[in-house]
Amino acid sequence: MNESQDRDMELGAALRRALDAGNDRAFVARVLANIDTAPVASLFWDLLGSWARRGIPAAIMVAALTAFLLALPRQPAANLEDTLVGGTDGGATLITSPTPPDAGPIVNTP
Amino acid sequence: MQIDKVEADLVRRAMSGDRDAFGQIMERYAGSARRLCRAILRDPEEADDAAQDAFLSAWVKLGQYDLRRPLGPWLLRIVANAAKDRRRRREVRRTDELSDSMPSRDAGPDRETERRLLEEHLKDALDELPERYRAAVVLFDVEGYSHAEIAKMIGVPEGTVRSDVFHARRMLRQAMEDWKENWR
Repeated sequence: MNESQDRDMELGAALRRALDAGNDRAFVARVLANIDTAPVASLFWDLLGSWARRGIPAAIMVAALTAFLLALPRQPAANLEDTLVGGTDGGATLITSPTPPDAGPIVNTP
Repeated sequence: MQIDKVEADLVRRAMSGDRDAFGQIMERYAGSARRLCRAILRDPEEADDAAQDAFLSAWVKLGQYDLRRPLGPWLLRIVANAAKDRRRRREVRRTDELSDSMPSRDAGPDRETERRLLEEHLKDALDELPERYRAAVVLFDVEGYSHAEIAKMIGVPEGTVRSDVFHARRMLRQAMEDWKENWR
């Protein structure tokens, strides 16, 4: 759909008249007269700003990832011996499990 | 919007440091930039300062401009950001819209007086709208940019621009109708 057909021409014209400042040539002359004064400072802050926009979110993500990795609990690998001797459920797992435990590591030990 | 070959040539010249070329670019966009700044800031002097900030910033950033894209949306995005920055930095002074220079209703109901009073009333109504509505309706209905272009300029989704234009128009239309009823 052509958006130009959607425009409210009457309102647009009235707003244009209401907002028009007039004498654009004088304005342009004023800007050209100031063109030597602003660029260096402006460039510096623009550059700094662009670095900050990329750098700050990246630093936050790295810090969050590091904190997450450090906070992870270190769990030792579970084996049958641990389950029988030190398990927290007192052997309930062996009794209620539908499959028998793997006795291989005990039987095959020399 | 189509890429204007004359404009592209002016930009190339400006990129190589030609100030006259940059002056011609400014003449093309000064009206739009100043109107947008007025819509955002509501103070004419503050608006011209913001428009100047924007053009000076554009002069410095010209090297970042992609010549394959239309200049207007790129430039007016810088203008919108300059106006918003200035609004954040300073308190916007509300000016008394009903100044002494404004004709009184006793001056006679001629068409010129009526038109000027309607403009003042419309400006007052525009001032009452949220900043985003003001920018969206001016960029769409006055400057002729598409919803997608405006979305990039002011940094909101395209659907939000459509909604903002719709609400702004409804409020401004209502204000215009109210004024016409009271005037006549």
